Amino acid sequence: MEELSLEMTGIVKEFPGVRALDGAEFKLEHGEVHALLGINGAGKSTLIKVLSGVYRADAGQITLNGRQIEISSPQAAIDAGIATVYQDPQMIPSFTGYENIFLGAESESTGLFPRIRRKKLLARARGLLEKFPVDIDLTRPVGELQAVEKESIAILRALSRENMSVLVLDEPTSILTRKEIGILFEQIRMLKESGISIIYITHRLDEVFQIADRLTVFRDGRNVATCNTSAEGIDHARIAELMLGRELSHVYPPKGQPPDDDVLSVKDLALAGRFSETSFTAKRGWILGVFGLVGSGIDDLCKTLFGVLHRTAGVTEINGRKVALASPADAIANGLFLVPGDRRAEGQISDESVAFNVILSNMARVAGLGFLIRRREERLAAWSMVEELDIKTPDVAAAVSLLSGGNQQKVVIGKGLYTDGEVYVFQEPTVGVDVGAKAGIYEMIRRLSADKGVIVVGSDCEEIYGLCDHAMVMYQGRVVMDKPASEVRLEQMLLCGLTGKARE
Amino acid sequence: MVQRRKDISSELITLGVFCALQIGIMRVFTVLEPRFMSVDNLLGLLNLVAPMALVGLGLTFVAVTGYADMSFHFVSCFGGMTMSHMIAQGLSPLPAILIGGGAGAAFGVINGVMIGKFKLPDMVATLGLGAIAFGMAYLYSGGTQITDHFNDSGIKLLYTARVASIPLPVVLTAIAYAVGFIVLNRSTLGRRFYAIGSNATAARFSGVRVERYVIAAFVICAVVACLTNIIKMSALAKGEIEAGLMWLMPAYSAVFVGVSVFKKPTVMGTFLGALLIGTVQKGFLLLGKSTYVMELVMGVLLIVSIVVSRIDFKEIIRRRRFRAELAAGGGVS
Repeated sequence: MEELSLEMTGIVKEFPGVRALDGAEFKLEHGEVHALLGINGAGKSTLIKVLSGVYRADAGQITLNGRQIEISSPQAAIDAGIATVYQDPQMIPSFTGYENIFLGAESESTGLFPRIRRKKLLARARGLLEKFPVDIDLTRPVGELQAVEKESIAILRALSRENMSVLVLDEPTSILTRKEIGILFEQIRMLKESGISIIYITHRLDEVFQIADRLTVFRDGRNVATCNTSAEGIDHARIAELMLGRELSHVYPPKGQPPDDDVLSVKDLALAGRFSETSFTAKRGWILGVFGLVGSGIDDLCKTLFGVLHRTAGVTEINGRKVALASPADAIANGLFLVPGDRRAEGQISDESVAFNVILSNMARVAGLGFLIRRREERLAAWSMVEELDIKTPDVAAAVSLLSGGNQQKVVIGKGLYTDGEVYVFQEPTVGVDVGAKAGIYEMIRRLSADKGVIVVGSDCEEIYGLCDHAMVMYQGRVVMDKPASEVRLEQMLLCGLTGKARE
Repeated sequence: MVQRRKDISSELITLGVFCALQIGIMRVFTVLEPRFMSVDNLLGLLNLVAPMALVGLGLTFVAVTGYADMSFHFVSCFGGMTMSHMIAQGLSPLPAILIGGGAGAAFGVINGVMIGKFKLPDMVATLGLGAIAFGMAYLYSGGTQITDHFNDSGIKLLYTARVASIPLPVVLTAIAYAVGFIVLNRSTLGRRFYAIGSNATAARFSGVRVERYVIAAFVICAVVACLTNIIKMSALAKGEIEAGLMWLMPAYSAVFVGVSVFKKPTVMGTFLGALLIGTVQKGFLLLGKSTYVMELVMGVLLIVSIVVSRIDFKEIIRRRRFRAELAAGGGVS
């Protein structure tokens, strides 16, 4: 048997409450492009972080070119010859291309003031271009370059390491245009011919068949299949099936009653350049699910609806009344609340207490004279929310930053419930929430939908499917599926989100 | 299920340490100069602390929202000269003071719009606007002092009047502190200021109209600085262009000494900071040290307090207690 380029066996990585990698295996042959696939939380990005030294595996072995290696830090990974290019490569915009390529490795001499010989660096960079001929001006500041050119610089930076043998490309096409993707694929083929093995992570199934030789599908922290992309019976539908597995891994509450009256009605909502005219309704007794991958426009859709971003078109009606939502304050005043996707950045005031957070969006409820906070009422209000949502906290005066992810999320939800709104939008409601707390959040969302309009938006296909009564799928800024959930299978929904095409 | 709030105790510890420090400093000065504890000197101390505490209170609002204001001392020059000019024009004191304060408010609005709406970097933008304000302060007199009508308009009463034998500036400062405390600690407005300072994005997503509050903070800071400087001018009995420049250091020192005690900008903390700085200044004045020694000591105090504020004693205690509760099986996951 031929020696493998890279072999990872029995990799285990645990986070509090989650086993992200559970005895994962991965085999990479010399000079191949190997696609790594899996839904969110399947463990593929954890695997890459273990490989690139960002995380340390709890158990397992990594063998590179027949030699067992220990990857204890990002530097160790680079020294071993493993380079990773992330979706949005981090560079210094005011530095030129060649300066960014050799950033941190400008000089061989080590002294108090190692000299930087620009001419020599540029010559070395040109040397790299001979090995890897891309059309790019290395003397221009990186800030002026196109996305694909930056990607090339990042690849050149990886190539500048003499011993580089494994290149990881983490969703390299997510920010590129169609034409740029073509350029990138040419470059990948060149790299492959020069003998470099490439791990290619993507959500876009079309690309897998265009560029990859083999593919590995991850699910629940393990690899469930590895095969040639040309193998018989391997197509989009089969891959989607592999990604999802047979049964749902969580228990979802029963589906809702036949829909009641409309609470929220949105017509032709659009944000130019991000997503096109989108219409939907939220009804009492019913959950609308919106599924889309990162970059599909779901994030912009939520923020535009909530008034964070300013819509370029569209009308929103709540309970039949037309409302102008120019800011989150307007939205909340009109009964629309968004539980945002990025909890730490957008959801919670981490340094402040549970009580502070719970009442923040509707302080009038505990205020006397319109502005003085009655602290006794505040505590009572916070305690009743803690009990209603079963938030595990020693006290309502405890800082939110001290709680676990699931309880933090419940605090953010509690803040929403305390506004006593009409429509609730949950964006990625269980990101960073441990398995135990997930079921509680799902049940709470279902209960809430009995007399409020509820929309669940996210990139976790299984979760959206498990929760919703009506399914919508977005792909590259437009709605590609809009059907009652009972008429859709989970595989169809995922496939639709991955390829943009609804298939039977 | 309901437990008593336990947080207070660790705050009390820091407060205790601070009071011990304050008393210690006063003891040292008393040993060096027995007159330090005389009624006259203590009343003088109160007079010295009051304006520093007042200008620091205004800056506290900006600090709570997470920004810095490098313009309020310059703006106070403009506000003070505006007031002086009005007095010189024969206007009676109250409208003159209001116009001076209003001039400050205008600059506060510009600061707030630049930083809250257009997201300009706070340090540089406020410094720029401050330079403009200071330049404009020269417009009234071309750089000379304004003294007309200072003796006959009654503006000096702002400094000399007493309420129940307490100097008016001290009374005004006390009132300002009472209002400031209620607003920042007990009102919905204060919650929003703090929410913005802690996480402006999350505050916005929670329905706080962030821009308005940022503007309000800069307006409060500028207006309070102008009023402080107006009191100072009524004490000097003249409009003196550079009188306002001295407020920058004591205001920042007061706020950051406060942060070193409470780990965030607070009304209480700023007052304690002003008290500490005032005590040190008064001591040096009494010992006959020149002003540059005072400047030096103030600089050291500011840096030390920033260093101390970075050490998070409270958080350390809180985390330890939280873990202890976990270990005791408090049902926390």
